[in-house]
Amino acid sequence: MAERQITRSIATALAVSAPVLVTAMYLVVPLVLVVRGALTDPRASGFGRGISSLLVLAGRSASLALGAALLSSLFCTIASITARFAPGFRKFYRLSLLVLLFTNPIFLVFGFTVLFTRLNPNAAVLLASAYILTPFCGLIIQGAIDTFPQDQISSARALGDSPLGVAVRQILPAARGPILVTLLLSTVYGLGFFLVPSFVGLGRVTVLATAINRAANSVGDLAAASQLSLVALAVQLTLMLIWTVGFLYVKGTGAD
Amino acid sequence: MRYSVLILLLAGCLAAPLIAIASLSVSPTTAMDVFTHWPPSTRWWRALFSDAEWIRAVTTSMYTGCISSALALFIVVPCAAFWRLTGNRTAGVALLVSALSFAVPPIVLAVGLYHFVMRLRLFDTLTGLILCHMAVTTPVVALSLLAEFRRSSTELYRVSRSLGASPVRAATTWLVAAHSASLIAAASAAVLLAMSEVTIAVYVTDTNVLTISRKALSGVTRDIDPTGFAAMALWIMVIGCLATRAVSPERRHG
Repeated sequence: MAERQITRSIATALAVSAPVLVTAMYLVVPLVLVVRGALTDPRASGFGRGISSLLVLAGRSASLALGAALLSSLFCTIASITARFAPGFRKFYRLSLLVLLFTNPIFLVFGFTVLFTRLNPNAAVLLASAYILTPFCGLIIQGAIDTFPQDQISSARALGDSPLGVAVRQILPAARGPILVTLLLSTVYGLGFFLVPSFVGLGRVTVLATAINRAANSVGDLAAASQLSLVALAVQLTLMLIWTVGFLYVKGTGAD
Repeated sequence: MRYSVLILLLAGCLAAPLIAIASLSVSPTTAMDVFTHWPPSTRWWRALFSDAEWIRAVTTSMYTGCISSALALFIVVPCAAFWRLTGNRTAGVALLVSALSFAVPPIVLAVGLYHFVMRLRLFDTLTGLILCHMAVTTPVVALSLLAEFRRSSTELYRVSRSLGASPVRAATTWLVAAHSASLIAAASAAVLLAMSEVTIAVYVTDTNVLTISRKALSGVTRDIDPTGFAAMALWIMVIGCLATRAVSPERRHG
């Protein structure tokens, strides 16, 4: 009996320690190294830009990422609801999402650089970022909308509600949680885009990710890149905090 | 009629950039214009299959993607199975936490991993790239298996145990008989994501380890070589065929 207990304890320790090791290796250690890198030269061109310049950069990055995430979530919500009512489109939509998910974004970026040459750089970056976020948002939102019971849709339609009415009054309130989660995750993901602003924005849109990339790859100033990475993390945590407060407020009002 | 317009609009938005890539891949010149040159040419497609660098980039990406997802499976599968079969919540939480690297902006993670491989002296090596790609493959495998195992029944495991099989053997039977398809799906998704990952690959490699992302980036920035678009069009076709199979069996309402 004691032997079985020991074996079970060893198995538990192994099962828990492997993911903990992975977390340490791919999350804790890199972030600690970023902090250490940032502190090696506090006067490097990252923090050395000054607080107002950093705030402008952070604000621009957050608003672009949030805008792209909002646009993408809106598109995916409309497309997912349409796919729910149109079986032919449903297959095409899922196929497109899977293809886009596994497509190397470099080529999409260059596709957009060609397509959006005459557009305002900020608008071009917003649209291209939203498109690249589409598979990420689409798969989660479509999964949520797909789980909505068909019987409830049929009942509402039988009672005379239009497809738009069913979408607004039945499906959207039920899928609001996953849509909000998608919005947050895709904003965080979008904060890390550096190819889109560099190429689609023709180098005229400077955000945190492009500044990090320039510091690390063009200038070779790792201390500055690490400092700007810390600013990006601060932006991410702020967005998460705002989102959590908003989410708790929505839950508190009983809207869910 | 109104729905047809909406569907056409949505489908157009989704397909336009992919059509642009396909058009650039058959452009007879190096000019980055869409549909401006006629007739189309197979010049870049021929160059793709005769370019040793592209073949090396694809091979390296496939190799690193396969190894990193195999390592991710090796770590995640026993933990996820242990969590499901014993009901140990700590193992489930630990696995969920291991997927947290997804919630960090990719460029920040890439800078951290760059510091990491530099310290280990693995910068621009295959080992370094495989280790770093596990930051992408592990969360994918962990999240997909957690979702799959959560829905699955453990009946088969209990029957095997009651018939005298050891815990390891019963768990292996349960995995192979009930979850082989989802294991293959998770592994394939991890391989494909690792192959199409850009940020980490650009940060932890240089000229020595040539991946699809590295080659593509230099192909459209330094050399202005549209061969990359032919590679991408081929990639989209392959993924399209695989994805068609994946979405074909409509399991729910249509």
